[in-house]
Amino acid sequence: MMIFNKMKKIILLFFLAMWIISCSDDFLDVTDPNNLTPDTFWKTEQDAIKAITGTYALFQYQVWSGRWGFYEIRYMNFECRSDLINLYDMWSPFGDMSRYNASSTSYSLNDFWSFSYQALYAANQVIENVPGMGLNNGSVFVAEAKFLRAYAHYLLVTNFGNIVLRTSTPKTSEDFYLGQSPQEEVWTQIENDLVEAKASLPLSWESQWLGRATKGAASALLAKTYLWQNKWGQAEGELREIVNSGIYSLVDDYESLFNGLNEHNSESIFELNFTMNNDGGRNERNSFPAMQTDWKMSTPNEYMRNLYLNDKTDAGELSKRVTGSLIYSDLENDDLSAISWKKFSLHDDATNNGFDFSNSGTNFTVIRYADVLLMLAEALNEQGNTSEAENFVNQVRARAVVPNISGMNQEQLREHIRHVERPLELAAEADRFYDLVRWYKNGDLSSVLVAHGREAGETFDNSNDLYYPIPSSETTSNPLVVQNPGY
Amino acid sequence: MRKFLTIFFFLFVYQTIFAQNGTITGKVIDESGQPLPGANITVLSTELGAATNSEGEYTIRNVPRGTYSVRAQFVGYNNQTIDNVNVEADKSILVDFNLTSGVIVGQEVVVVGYGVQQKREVTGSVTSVSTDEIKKIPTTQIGTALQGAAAGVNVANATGAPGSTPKISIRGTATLGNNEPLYIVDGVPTDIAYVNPSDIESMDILKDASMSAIYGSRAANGVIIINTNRGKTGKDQEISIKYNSYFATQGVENEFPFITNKEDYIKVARMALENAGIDYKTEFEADYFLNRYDANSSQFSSSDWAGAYFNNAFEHKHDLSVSGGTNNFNYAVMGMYSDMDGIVNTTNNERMSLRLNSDLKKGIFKVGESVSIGRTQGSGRFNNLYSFYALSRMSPLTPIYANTESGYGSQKNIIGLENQANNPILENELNQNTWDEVKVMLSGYLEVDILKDLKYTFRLSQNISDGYWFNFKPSYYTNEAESNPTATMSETRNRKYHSILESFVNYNGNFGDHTVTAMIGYAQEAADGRSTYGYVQEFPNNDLQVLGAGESGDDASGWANEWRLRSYFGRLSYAYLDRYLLTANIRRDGSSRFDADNRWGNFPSFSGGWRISNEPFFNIPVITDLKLRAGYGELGLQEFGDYQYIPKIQKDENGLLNYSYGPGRDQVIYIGARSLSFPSIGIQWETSKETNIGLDLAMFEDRFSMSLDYYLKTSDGILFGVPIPKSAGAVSNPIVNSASIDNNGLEMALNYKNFDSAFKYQVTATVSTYSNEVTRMGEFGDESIWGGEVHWGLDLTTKTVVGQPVASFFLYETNGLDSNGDLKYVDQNGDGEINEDDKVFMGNSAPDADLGLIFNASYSNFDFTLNLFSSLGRKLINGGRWLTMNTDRFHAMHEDLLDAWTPSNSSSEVPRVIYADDRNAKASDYWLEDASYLRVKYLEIGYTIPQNLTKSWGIGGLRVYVAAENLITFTGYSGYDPSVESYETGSIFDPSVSSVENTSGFIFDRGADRSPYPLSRKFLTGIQVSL
Repeated sequence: MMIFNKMKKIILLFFLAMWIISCSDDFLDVTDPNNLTPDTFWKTEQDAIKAITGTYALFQYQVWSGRWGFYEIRYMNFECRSDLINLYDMWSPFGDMSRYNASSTSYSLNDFWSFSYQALYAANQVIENVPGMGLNNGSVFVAEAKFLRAYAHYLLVTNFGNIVLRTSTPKTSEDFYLGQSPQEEVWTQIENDLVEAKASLPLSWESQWLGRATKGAASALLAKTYLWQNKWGQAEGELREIVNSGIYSLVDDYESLFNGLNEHNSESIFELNFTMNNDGGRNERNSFPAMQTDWKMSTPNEYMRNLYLNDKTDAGELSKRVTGSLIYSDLENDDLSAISWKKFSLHDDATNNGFDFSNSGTNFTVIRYADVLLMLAEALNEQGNTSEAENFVNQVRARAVVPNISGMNQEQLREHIRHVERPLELAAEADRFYDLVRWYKNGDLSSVLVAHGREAGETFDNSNDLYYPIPSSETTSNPLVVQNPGY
Repeated sequence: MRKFLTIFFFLFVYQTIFAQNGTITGKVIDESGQPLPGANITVLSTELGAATNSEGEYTIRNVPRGTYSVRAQFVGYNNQTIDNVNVEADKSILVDFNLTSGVIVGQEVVVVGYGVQQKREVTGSVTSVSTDEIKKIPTTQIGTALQGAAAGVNVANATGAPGSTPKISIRGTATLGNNEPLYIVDGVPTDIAYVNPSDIESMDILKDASMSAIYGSRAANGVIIINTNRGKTGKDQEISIKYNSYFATQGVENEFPFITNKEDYIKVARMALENAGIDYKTEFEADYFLNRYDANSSQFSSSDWAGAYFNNAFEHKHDLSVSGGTNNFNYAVMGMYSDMDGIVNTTNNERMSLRLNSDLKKGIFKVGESVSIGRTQGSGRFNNLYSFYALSRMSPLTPIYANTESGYGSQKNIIGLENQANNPILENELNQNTWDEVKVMLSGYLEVDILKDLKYTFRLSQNISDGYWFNFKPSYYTNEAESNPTATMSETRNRKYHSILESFVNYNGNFGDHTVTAMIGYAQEAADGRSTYGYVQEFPNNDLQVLGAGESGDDASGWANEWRLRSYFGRLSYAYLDRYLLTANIRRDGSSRFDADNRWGNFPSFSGGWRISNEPFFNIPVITDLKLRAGYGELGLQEFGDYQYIPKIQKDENGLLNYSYGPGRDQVIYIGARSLSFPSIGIQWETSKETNIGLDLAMFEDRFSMSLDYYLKTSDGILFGVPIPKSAGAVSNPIVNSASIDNNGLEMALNYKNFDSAFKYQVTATVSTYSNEVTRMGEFGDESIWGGEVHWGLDLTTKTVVGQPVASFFLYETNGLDSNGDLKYVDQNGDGEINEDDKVFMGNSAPDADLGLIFNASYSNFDFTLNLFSSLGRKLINGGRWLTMNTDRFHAMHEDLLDAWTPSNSSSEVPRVIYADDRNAKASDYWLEDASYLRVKYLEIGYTIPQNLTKSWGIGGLRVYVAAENLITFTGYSGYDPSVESYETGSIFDPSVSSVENTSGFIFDRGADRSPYPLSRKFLTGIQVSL
């Protein structure tokens, strides 16, 4: 009996012990060893660098953790509607798009939309969190983020027309669902971001930071924004600022603008960086070499070929714009299918330090000085200042060592800039179609396409085909978003 | 005087009445003379009975005169019936019982979680699986043996790969994540992948909420409780030594109808080009394969790729168990070794395990342990999602082996054939994929009989698993387009610890006609896991297969996770006269997977039963037992990531967020980071509310028994990634409790046995019906999730939406062929266009009903077992057929293409072939097939060598047998296997899955048959020896 009682006591004590152990409730609190949390992040300058780096990186569109994304989602989405190309072997996802018959389920549009909004989310995180960190140079990071936010909105609005504006990170579940904003509001937001960004961005970066946004980049994008809205005067003001800053000048070796051997040169205003270097960054490469040449989807069309054939020096040789833009053997007589675009498609192992068939470290130039000069010419011409406009055109032509133009009237210069000079200078740089949209958004783009011999040009609907359809992943999950007309 | 007389009269009458009755009294003891309190004494064929008191004594009064049989029952002991008990009026007859302890037999007692219950008193839905049946099926996987053995339990072999773990689901699909039930082995929640079926002594499946609520937050998918062999206590016991062994060969049950003859292939290719309007002779170069064929057909092969890919395989398994005991001690030692080649070339699985169980009783204490160690080594990798696809890219024109540097043929340099595909035989044979995993389970307990009726148990357990997976791709050169210049190697090491502490008290009280049992307890669990990964490339030669030998491209990664659980639980049961039964369970769980505000959940349940056959008014002698039961319970589920509620800032594993700055060649890569998830939205448990009604019936002296159950289960707050708009900018969808699914069904289990004559037989039949419907999804309640992927590039085939079962087929409807031989798609909305709006729902892959039939018979020394299983109402998208009938490019072709529509073959139902045109290869019901089937799952004939012979050899018993598994399947389905479930098991929140949003391959892909590892047909012969 005594033993029994002792036993009972021991067991009861044991039970008590159990209950006491059980009362330490932080047993159930865990911390995640795999990730930072907002509580541990946003503390030092390193954190700000990480955050802004992540934002830039999203403009590389590296889907499937591979290098193919940039070419398809950034380059092909933008190039496939150009009036200067011949549809040679368009890969099927771009087949319908390149014939002005895009589908909302297109994977490349869905990915582009998704990545652009991820970039906006990343940029907004920087804008909201960096000011509170107390860094000396915090305003620069915020300025970069605003530039990138403006850039993302710019890319979206020029492609889709009616987009959702994202100026803050979602805080509650209602914030996930926003509707589209009218275009004027979007342009105003872009302008504001760029003006604010300009104020704090540096004129240039030291060597180790090349690739980050500069005042000139914000300015140039702002100029384009003004041009989209036909605000010629403001565009002129902005562009003159860039010209007068003295930072930029045209590069003599045209080909070197695109061959990866002369990155961040004096003409480059903003580039998207790529590199062949390893170091944990498998995907800092792009796939231009393979895509531009061996698996090429398009070639210049007859109209463009003719422009090139006529772009000759005084001595009668094809200009360096031609040799720098194309790969051919006999430009006049080659079948179109034998001609390839050369820009960004460097392919030569011997000279390029390990570049190979499908990997390239060549940066993609988003804006360069030549474009600025031609935009200034356009802005001046639209305001009636044709002769000064001609001067700026001639600066670009002088670099190409082709004869000056002179004595044109406003209409002739307009046509020249639109359909001769800009194509010759800027073909295959993923911006052509957007020039066409901003010029003809209230006009007749279809006739232009037909006039340039563009396949399916006659099917182009002047009201509805200016913009891509809103991707299906958005329309099916967001009840506040309305599909673009005609889709 | 009158008063006195009246009283006297009444007393006399009273006396007379009572004078007709007698008393039965006695004592119940066990073999060692110990009294057994709480033993049940019943007078058969009457309602009279009693329970023994703490001295083991009982008295049954008011027994009418007569002769009776009296039976004593006690948990853990064999029943004893004493006949010819002659009760005389006014006399007391002594009937003592001496019970021998018996092994807990599955039929009498049921293990219910922290205790046992008499099967008779169970008020919920439990199936005790006959372990003899389980042990028969030749497999290393318990799940495989379970199919058809229990109603409501659906077992799908994810693949036939050697050693693969089947997917078990109980009562339908109740969640969008992990549907696996909770497994308890010897009291320890553990992974059953390495539990040797031969070790199992009892298996109880707790199907409804009232039974499994005791496991609270992990029990919503049901609980399977397994106890392994522990030996028997008893005086003078002989040591029992058993040895089992079988040898089997297996082959593919069904051949896939690829075209293997080059002439046939060429014929289809020509047709396809012609229908596409392409004249290959003039439009393509001379090196185009058809032009080369026309020039000289002998330069091409007629390769049988599937034939080289699959082969017959050999397997063997050996078990040895030694068990025994004395009065106070029992033990069992079980070992196993198996080696299984897979029917896919180069796949193999080798397994060994050792289990040691023992219990020691001394006075009021009992201690024991359960330890098991298992190791699996495997090689060869068949990726369920992609390997068949790789096989389906190969044309028979391509040689498998060739006179190249690597020795293998290549399709990449045959112009015109699909050139994205590598030679899959080369990949199988050259690439090394091996893994080696060890799992240890350690458990020890202490039981104290505090009082006669009160027992305390303390148990401490730990599961340890450690494994590595290793992949080496050597360098090779076949031709310029197909080669691997740089050898690569990756290796992953995982280790996980899972500890469990349990402390609970059982009370077992008998108060005359009332029995009360109670249990109250506490448990806590902690799991910690860690994984490391390394990768290098460039090896000086292909034999140095260690990370250290690599010369460049180093990469490393790793993760860690942890989980904690704390629980309080209790149960109360009451039984009156074994006639009215009530049970209530409650469990309170706190989990580390939720934030502090949502961490705790309560999971109650209660159930009742009414044993109608014990009622005085019940008088149908042929019915020995009739019990009605009903129950209700609430359960939880928390199978998702360990840190889900914590917002994350992450760099991207694949360098997505990395960017380089700097000049030209000297750019430096910086690692970027961003916040991945949106603010925590208060995640909570998934909850499941279930109602169950059941009926148990036994007739003809227990020869026939039947259980009937109907259940209604509503699962709420199911976690899934609500697809928010991309314009919100998130990478992954926030995980929210936002879906609900209803399941209901009927289960019937019938058992008839006849052991009376020399021909003994037993039949067990199970019928289960399933009905499933999604009732809510997403914030607006109307999201949908596409799934059913056969391969990237082909349309998705299923949609999970409100109002339909999970993963329902959503396809174009076809209506024969048109006059050109193309499929006619039905324009459902009459708008003149065939697009998404014309797709309709067309059923799903879950069966309407499963039927199982197990027939055992024995006659003299022969025994026979037949196990049939049938699943009705299943449908599948035959992905293999779709991939090989689609002439988008020239890859493998299905034989049916030979019958494709042409103007001269216009009665064919096979649409015409058109090269590079997918009009006849859309996601339509042309690929949807009925996958109902009847399968002879197992057939065995055995012979037991006569006792006298074996005794003379000094052996206790020897039995030999031959058997076949998956002997034949009757089905209309034309793919490999109609029972296929080709989606990955496990949680979509597994940390090793890089993106939470990635639902590909999980439950939403159910229904799309990607032809995973095919099921094999096995022939085997085996031997069972007991000493």
